[in-house]
Amino acid sequence: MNDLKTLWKSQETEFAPMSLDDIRTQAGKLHSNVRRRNIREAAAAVLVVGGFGFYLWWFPDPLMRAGSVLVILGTLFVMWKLFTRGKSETLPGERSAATWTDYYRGELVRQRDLLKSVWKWYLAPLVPGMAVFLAGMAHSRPYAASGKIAGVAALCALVFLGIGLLNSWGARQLQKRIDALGELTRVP
Amino acid sequence: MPEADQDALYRLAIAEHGAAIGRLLRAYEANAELRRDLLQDIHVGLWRSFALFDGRCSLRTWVYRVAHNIASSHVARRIRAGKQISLDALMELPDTGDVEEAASEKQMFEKLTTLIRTLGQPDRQIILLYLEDMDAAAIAEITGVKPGAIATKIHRIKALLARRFKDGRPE
Repeated sequence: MNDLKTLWKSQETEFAPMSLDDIRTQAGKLHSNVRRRNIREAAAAVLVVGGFGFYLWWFPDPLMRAGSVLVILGTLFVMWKLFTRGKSETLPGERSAATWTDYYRGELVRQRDLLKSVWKWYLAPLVPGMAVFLAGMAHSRPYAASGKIAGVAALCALVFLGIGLLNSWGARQLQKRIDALGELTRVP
Repeated sequence: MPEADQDALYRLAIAEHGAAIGRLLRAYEANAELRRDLLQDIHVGLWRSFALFDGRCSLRTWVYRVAHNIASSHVARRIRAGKQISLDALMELPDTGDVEEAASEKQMFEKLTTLIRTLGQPDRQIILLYLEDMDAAAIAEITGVKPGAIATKIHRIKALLARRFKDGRPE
């Protein structure tokens, strides 16, 4: 077994060490993963805001226009929450020197809480806008006569419900992992 | 903490434990390009962390905690990191055998690294710290796993390594 330890320790150094100047530069930047995710989410928000911005201009019905404004505001609120969350996720700061069990528990709890609260910060802000927009469609020609509004409303409700339930399920799975972690640290 | 002290602690940490940080990279990331990113993350994270270093644990414990925590987060973010299993599950699996006759040190090393990368946490961290010659108490201080569980896991790690490298290098 000692030879395996020697073998492990004898591996060649792969990369040159970083200079302190490089480290300071990198420390000031947003982590590449967070940067990529921010770009993705911002692109999705631009699509939604652009789409409902177009509706605002295109539809004369005041309710549909009010709904469009509310959806845009809701999307901006969701983006603000996502960007705020991203900031706290860049690189672990004060938590990074915690024991692995504490660090990992912290990560799991943060993710669980995020999933559990998805109703509040991700879905609820979009509901008023969608409801008002659909209400506007319901009494506006030619949509009112088409009978499709109920179908669209049901579809929206199903999508929202599906997202919410999926996240609740994810939160429960994370809770199981948090509970299992307790077994590793609990001294009998 | 003044930045000069933070820099000094970082330099000391790298002088004493830089090689060990370099070694753990292969156990967490198979892709060389991403390994470089991970190394950068660890160095930046380490330097940042020293702003908060209060001496409540040794420099070694601090360095290993930061390095392994950042590496664990790196694996968690990787969608294609591959399936990870527990030490117990790995012991149940038969050796694929393709490198069983691994004669060269390079083959042995590749086999060892692949085996470590298969493990989930905290087993991966424990085997790495064991290979760095740490005892159960030191591993418990770094990981937070209770010492009794560490001792059991080390016992299993030894059995696993002995079985997988049976023709290799007996102790």
